[in-house]
Amino acid sequence: MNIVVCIKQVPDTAARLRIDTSGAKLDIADLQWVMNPYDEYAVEEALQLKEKHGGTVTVITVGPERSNEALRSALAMGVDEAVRVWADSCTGLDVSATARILADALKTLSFDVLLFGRQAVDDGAAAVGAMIGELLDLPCVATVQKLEIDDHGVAVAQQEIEGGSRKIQVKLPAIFTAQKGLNTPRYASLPGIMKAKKKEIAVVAASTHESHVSTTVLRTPPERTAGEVLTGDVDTVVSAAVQRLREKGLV
Amino acid sequence: MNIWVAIEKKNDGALTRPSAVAAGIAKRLVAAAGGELKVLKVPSSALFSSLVQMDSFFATPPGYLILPHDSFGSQMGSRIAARFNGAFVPDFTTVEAKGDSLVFTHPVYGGRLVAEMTSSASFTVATARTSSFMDDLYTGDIAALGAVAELPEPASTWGTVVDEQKASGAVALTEAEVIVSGGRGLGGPEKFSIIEELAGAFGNASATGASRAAVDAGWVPHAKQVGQTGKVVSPRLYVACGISGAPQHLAGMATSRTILAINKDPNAPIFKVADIGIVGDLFEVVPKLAEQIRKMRNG
Repeated sequence: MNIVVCIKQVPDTAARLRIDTSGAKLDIADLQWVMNPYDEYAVEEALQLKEKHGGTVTVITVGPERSNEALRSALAMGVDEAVRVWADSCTGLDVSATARILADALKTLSFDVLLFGRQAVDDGAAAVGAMIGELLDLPCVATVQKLEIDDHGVAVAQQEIEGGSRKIQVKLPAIFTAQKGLNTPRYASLPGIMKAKKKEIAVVAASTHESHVSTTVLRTPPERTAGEVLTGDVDTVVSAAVQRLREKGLV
Repeated sequence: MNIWVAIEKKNDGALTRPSAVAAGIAKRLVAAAGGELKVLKVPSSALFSSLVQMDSFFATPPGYLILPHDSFGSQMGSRIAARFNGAFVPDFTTVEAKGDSLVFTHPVYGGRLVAEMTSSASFTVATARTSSFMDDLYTGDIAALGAVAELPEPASTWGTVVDEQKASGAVALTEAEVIVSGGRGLGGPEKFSIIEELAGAFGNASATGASRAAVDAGWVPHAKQVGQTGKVVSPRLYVACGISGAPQHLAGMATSRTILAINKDPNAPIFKVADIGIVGDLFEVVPKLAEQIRKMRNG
């Protein structure tokens, strides 16, 4: 079973975010980067599928040279091959263009299972997996909490939906996007890290697709101000709080 | 500017709340900017089939297609954008017409920053975070909005729904009007019942949530997590119980209209964003709060 995992390098969720002087972009100087947290579940699922069914796991990203770090994190976890797709024209890609570039690159790889994280925590689009499904004419099941694949290439994926879940049965090849809870991503072993350092990363030239969506302004959300803090006897503070909720029409 | 909307048609024919909000947004935008509004009713089963049946509908696409950013619209919207060569603006929280185009805002980095976005494409698909547009909920007749096209049930599907589970009476976290969340301060999974009790006191449109600490400890499933690696929510009231308020959590709930925080630590960061703060032991405060609210609601 050949598995390809599409990952993205994103700013560390704990990193301090600054807006650059253009007012429309993130200041990336000294920024710490990580593999998108949801992609770690996708990588782990791929490794578990390989352990069960055999085959190879390839990780692929569309990103500049610094994205090699994210690919190496995946290699250190146990992934076999890594591919980075890029061209100078790729700066400022929108999601549709990213999906088209990635779809073109994926056409050269053969796979039974294509995995994504359910969304990237930077632009929060949750779109590329489904777009690839449409572009490559493959089923895509999003936000998967549980995945079972039998020896005949039939998958049952449990996906999260509003207020519950549903199980979808599909035939491979298919795309799944990983939700947190799908598994517990393994830590890279020391030999894994050493091996990943030496591994060659294949660099593929990105195809050209025009981007149309642009960010004109990037800003911090309006700051909330601290309201009233009630202290003292429990009955008194609870009554006071309920009174405030009532004044706001919330009870 | 032609603005169309795609809404989900459930098996029972009912319009989902997020779809009704998306319809309301499209209606408001067309009323403001002028143009044609068309409604595409999409059966849920189309999520698991080819979109070939949409080809004629999108032969001449509109400037914009609006969908809700829910489990239906997020998937359907991105696929429509891919199939019909459209641009895509995800999960917008405000939108306004400016000249010939729409200007969207979309929270990025889990809500820690906000991006103002525009599209130069001739066809753009955009999905709305419907909890930010409660005033746009459309309750009228769909046929009164404009021409309605109904996509037939697909002849064949690539996926079969083999099971569907809905927690009884559960309101989706992203649609709830009141959310009561528990954090590390709960100390264990068995104490989550007081959170449920308080949420229940607020009535049917309420849901329970949790901080990452409570989820990572295994006390509650991830589906309940609010924050940068969970759900981003904007209810009318958010009640944070025993949640200190890490930036990643605040990013997921700071757009709530009113925030009530209960924490025993007066220096907890959550109090910096709370409209009402209670410094106290949540095990004493939360049950009393539930009792008083229940009493008040029952008249």
